[in-house]
Amino acid sequence: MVRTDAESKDGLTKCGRCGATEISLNIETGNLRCGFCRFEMQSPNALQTYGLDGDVSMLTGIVVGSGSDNIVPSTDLVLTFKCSACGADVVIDSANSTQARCHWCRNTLSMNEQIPNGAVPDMILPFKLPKDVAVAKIKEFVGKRMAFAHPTFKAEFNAENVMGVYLPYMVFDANAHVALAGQGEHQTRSYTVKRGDDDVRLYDADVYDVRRDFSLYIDDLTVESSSERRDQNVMRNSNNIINAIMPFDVENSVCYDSNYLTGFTSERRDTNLDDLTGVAAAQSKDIARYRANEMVTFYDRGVRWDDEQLHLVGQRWVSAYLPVWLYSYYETKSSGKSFVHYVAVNGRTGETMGSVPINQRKLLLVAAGVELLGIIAFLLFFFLVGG
Amino acid sequence: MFNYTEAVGFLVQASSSDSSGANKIAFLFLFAGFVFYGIMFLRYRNVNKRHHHESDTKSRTANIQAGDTFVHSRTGVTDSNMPGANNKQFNGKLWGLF
Repeated sequence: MVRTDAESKDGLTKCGRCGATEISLNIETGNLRCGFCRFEMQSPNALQTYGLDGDVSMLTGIVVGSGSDNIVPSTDLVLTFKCSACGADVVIDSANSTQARCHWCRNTLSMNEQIPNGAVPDMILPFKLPKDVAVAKIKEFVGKRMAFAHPTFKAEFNAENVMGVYLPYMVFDANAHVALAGQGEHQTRSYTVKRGDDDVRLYDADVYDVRRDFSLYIDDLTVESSSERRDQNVMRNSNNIINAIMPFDVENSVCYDSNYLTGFTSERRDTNLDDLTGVAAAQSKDIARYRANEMVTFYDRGVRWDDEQLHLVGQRWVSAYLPVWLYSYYETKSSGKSFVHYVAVNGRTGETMGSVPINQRKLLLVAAGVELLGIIAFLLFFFLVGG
Repeated sequence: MFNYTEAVGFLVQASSSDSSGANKIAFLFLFAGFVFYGIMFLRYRNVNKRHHHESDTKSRTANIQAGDTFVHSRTGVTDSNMPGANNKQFNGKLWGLF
């Protein structure tokens, strides 16, 4: 395990120049900036600082950042800190934030040391995309989908309500050995024959037993580590929208500092590595299949892999907060059921995806009209060509 | 005069995989409303969108070893692709509708 909070301290994090605790992210520079004297502080790159950026091909065993350690269920989420400026007790609800303001002296207290409740990750990727750009992207995305949008949504939509959220992810590196075995087909001839009145296209192919063995090095596979976000059943939620705005440039993450969360919200990691290993292994197999396609281009009719073995020689896990601008809309359906629609913008790249509630009655009516026209066109076609 | 049997025969032929391009267009006309609804639903709700981890994740390969053996030839097959081919299927996605 690599300790990633050895230098961290809970309590007051003061500006290096004026001593104020009013510190927040300056999105334009990516640095922390003092709210009083405008002094800027640059946090070091997390992966380099902790030596978690080593060559993946040399990775053996399991390397874990201390912020990715197992969550102990009995660990308190609500923690009390003593304000070192005035001595008052200040409560931080770590389920929602790792900061709180002292109600007596107005200083900001930060929680940077890791305790086993998943609230403090190994690293954080600061927002790079300003809110006004995110708002414009959401407006543009939704604006293109207004024709069949639900009337209540149309009346209530306000992109200014977007929230900056740091969501918890696990970043996974792997040094793996892959062995694939199956059959592939290579087309040797394509020709047309007459069957009755019809022309039918037929194919000849050679069948081969195919085997590929190779080393696979995976860098920064990113998986959701909040159980709520991992549930991506599109019948129940629109979490797939948040999944779709990946990838993030996680290699630019910095050492965790709660001041990056000022003005934003965050979600706590509530999933342990044991629960994420299966997803990471399945996605690694997908990467293996994808890379193997470059090695089987001769088999132009496809390959059926019957046996797929992926052996993890080495793996590395680092927990991270990644930045997402999130617009959420709570739709209550006529059946009484509710559904949360998201429009999400990647806080680094600006990649945008969303779910817009549909005016089903209007869409069905227009689809029925299109169907009617289609049937008329089909009958005309039938009489002119088929009949 | 509209001949129901002929129309059904035309429909079956249009829907078959080896039908001509014109017949496929006719088939599309018949289900235009359903196709329109499906396209609009996907455009608004984006239930088919996901992170393409298999292609978007940085990865590289090394020490490649290959061993291929000819088994037999197949002639006169109607499928343009190998039946059961799974090299373009990816199973690690988190959601389950598609």
